[in-house]
Amino acid sequence: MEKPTQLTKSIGFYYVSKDNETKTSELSLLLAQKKAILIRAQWPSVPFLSVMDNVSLANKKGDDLESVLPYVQLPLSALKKERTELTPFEEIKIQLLLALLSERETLLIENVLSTLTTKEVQILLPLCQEIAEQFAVAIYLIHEDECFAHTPYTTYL
Amino acid sequence: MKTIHFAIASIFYHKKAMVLYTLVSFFAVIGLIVTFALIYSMDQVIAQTRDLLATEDLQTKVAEEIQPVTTIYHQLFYLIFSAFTLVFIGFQVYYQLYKRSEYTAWLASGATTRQWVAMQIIEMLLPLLAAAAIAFVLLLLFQPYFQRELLSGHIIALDRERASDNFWEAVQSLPGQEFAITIPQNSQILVQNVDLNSTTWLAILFESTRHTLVVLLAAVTGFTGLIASGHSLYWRKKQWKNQLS
Repeated sequence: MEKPTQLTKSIGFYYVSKDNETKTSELSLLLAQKKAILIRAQWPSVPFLSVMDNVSLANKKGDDLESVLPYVQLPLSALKKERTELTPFEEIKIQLLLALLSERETLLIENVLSTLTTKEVQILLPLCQEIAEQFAVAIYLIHEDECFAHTPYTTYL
Repeated sequence: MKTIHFAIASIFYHKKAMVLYTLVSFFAVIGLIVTFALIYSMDQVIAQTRDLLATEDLQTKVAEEIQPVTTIYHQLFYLIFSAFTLVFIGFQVYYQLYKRSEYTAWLASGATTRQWVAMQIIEMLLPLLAAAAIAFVLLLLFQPYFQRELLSGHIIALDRERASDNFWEAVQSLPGQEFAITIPQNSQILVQNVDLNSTTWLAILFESTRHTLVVLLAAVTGFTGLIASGHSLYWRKKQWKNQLS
């Protein structure tokens, strides 16, 4: 049995440099232990299911989707779209929604910012901070560009 | 219900593989129903031939001569079932390897391996049931042709074993042969003497179909469960180790 890490106890929105091997290996361990969920630039959805069905996979308790959607600033209409019609930003928001529905305590956001516009990044960072506070989860932003470590929304690790 | 819905979505997504699998299942179902029908109708041949005979000695002798033919039908069952099982295992292994990325996405969505395996089993059972339904309806529609072919099957098998010659000789060698004058001297006459009324015939058809379904459902459920869960556990262990790029 692998030992749990200290990272599991933190709540908040953190920046982790991609070069920080200690932290990234700890985060990898959390993923291996299924305590964390990974959010990628491209959402690895189940191809034969609709967007709504993919979301319902994570919604095991049958929570009311409409009550969770405002936290990720996603309209219900986005879930009714075809998979190919989703924008990269919507894909990230859906992954955030899946993470919240599956009640993971740790979320890792890896290399997603380069696929977003500046405006979308400006929306995503405060959104992640708010989600971390509202749902008492730890969100780790893993990115190579250290300028994101010094925003008012993230804590540098 | 959700799992059934997901399984149907997956079937439509993997149309080509599923059409192929349904075709293989269809032929396996037809083959097995015919084999079981041969076995059950042979019981009728034995029973009605016994009725022609006067003494118990003769009845036993006839049953002994016909018995090897039933063994041929059992061997035919093992042949068809083994062929289907081998093809199915090969298909299932290839299919699970092909679906690795889907399974990864499935786990990433927060769903469980148990649900995935259940979906795989349903995904295999639905085309099998569809193939069985089509096969059964076709056999019902073409009953006269099916019956004729069934009797031809018995004649070929009895000829192969020289059954009628053997028990004709047996009857001649036994005392009290004068009671056995109605014994047919060739397989064709012997089989054509057998009268299958509609109730018996339908009972044979339903029992054969039921037996076929039980055998195939058990095999498909067992092998799918084993291969899908084995592969899922292996892939999950390997996959979750190094996810960060």
